[in-house]
Amino acid sequence: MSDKQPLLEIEDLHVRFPLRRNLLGRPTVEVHAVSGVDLTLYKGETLGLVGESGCGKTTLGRTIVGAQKATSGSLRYDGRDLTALSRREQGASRRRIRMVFQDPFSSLNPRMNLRQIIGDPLVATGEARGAELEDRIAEMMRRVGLSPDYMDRYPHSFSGGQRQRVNIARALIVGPELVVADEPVSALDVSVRAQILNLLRELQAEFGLTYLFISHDLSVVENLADRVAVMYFGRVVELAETGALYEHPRHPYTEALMSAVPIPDPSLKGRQGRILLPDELPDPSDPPPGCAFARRCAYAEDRCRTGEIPLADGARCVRSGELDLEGIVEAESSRP
Amino acid sequence: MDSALLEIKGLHTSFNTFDGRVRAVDGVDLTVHAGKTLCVVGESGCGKSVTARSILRLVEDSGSVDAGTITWHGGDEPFDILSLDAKDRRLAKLRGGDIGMIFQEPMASLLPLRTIGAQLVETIRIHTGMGRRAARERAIELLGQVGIPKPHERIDAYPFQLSGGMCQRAMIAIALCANPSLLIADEPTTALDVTTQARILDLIRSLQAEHRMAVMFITHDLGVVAELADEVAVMYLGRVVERAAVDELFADPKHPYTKALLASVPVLGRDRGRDLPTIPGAVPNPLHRPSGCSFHPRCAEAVAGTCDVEAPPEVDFDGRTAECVLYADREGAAA
Repeated sequence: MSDKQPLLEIEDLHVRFPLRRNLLGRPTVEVHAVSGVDLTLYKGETLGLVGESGCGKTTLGRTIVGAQKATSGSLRYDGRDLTALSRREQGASRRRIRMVFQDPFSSLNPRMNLRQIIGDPLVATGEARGAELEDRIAEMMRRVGLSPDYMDRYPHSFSGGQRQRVNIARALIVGPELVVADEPVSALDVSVRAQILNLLRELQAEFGLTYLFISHDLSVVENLADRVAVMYFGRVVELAETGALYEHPRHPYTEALMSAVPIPDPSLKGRQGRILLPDELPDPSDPPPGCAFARRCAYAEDRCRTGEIPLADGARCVRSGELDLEGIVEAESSRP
Repeated sequence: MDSALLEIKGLHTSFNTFDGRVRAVDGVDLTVHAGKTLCVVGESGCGKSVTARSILRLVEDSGSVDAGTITWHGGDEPFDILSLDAKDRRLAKLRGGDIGMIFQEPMASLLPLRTIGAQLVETIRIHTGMGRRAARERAIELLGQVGIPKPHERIDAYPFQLSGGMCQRAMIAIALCANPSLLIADEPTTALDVTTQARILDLIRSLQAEHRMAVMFITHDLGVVAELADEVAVMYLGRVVERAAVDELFADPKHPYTKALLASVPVLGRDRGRDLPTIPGAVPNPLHRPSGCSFHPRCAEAVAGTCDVEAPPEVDFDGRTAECVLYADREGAAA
């Protein structure tokens, strides 16, 4: 990335889900799924988004593609605010921002064949029909590694990996610029994950795509991402270049997360200082003041529990400057 | 120390499906040693869960164990679990008594309409004959042991009131309540976050050290294997294709499938930004098992004319085995 051109600028984004409403239909208790995210995606990069279940990473992804309404804040895409678009304009933006879902078994309509599934976005937009439609579907299928001969088959006759290729083809056929991939390999067999990761990398180079890659799997994110954002409790707590983040984490949560990943190398057993986090998650309908991670954090002090802690120098932690946090254990010795 | 606790020999389990009979487990030999951890690794459809369920005779109605023996050495005298009558007291004693089992989805495996306390107390009373009050005391103690905070309050919680990690701990408490000599854990951490997984693995390890319990741990995560296992069995399409001590397996994998699997998984600190070696194709449907060696259509080292025709021999390398024709001319190869 020589010159960084912002593609999507997220500013102070909040998404809240009402739990209870009063007589007038106003929410009285709300769950804060995303609470104040600022994030910029640059053209052509892969931004990894990691965090545990419930941290708001999927909600953030869904908000970007327009599947979820933002409560407040702005999403500026190529200079225009996505939250303020008319319906028609939203349709156009859907062509530029596409999503690949996690579960290839439930995200494909079992009653539609591959021609219908992959071609649907083109038919819906009226962009192509007849022979041209056919050609574009076939071309896209070839591109993701599916034989166009399968066009008339239904999802049930395909394996998880192939279905994920269908998902990718459906996302890419309208020529998007930004692809939000939500856990695209988590549901796949270990032996086919690498195929899909390599395919995503290839397609990115070929079409100049920008990825927001959402995953809870730190090794997969490290493999694919240029930069990584770590989310905790609805906020980005650390944001850095991949190498820097993995080698020198600046937020204690990132450190704990990385230390918890089991490394497939028995010779490292015990060498890895594992941080075991107590599981006291704050109540998402009543967020505590200060750092949301403080009550699980081994380094927390009194000042962590008050006030608003800004994302400074890539980490939302008042102590990040003074702490010397542990990065990943080198595993380079194992196999070329 | 190294005495066999559970010995599986020639296990065949198959299921009737709409499309025909599926041989889910097709001749598996495995041994779990007392106090040790055996990790069974494999992908979907390799038969690892069915193997575990066969041990406790928990195979669904559509399936049946067709052949093989599963010998339990944990009692006064060894017996074949598979030959027991369904009403045999020894079987009831094994299930939840000598052998505890944890399933993959904690939320789905606990009864939703009963408190975790009720489910725990029931199991304790069945296996120890304790009175209601004593069993409840024991239940609270167990919940505390598995790391559930405020166990005297949580004991009256329903599964839906607890997080996935907490439910999994409750299940572990149930599995452990009769001090089993073998714990079978079927992907117990797959549905959990890494931080929760780390704590569950730590818990299993410390309980194992305390009670000298053997563990049969089923997973597809090679990282978990490296961390937990003494011995590893790699399964592919219903067969154990490689078996070795954990250090040997990772340092010097023999079977092409094991090699390819180890290479294709991204490892923290090793694979940043680079293309990963892949295994072509996908795991075949066990209904259409390839001829010869099941792995040959995806194998980089397959020998045409041999691997697609003949079943590979099991080759013995001083205590470890691999089922592959590449090593067929080694001494000690048994057909």
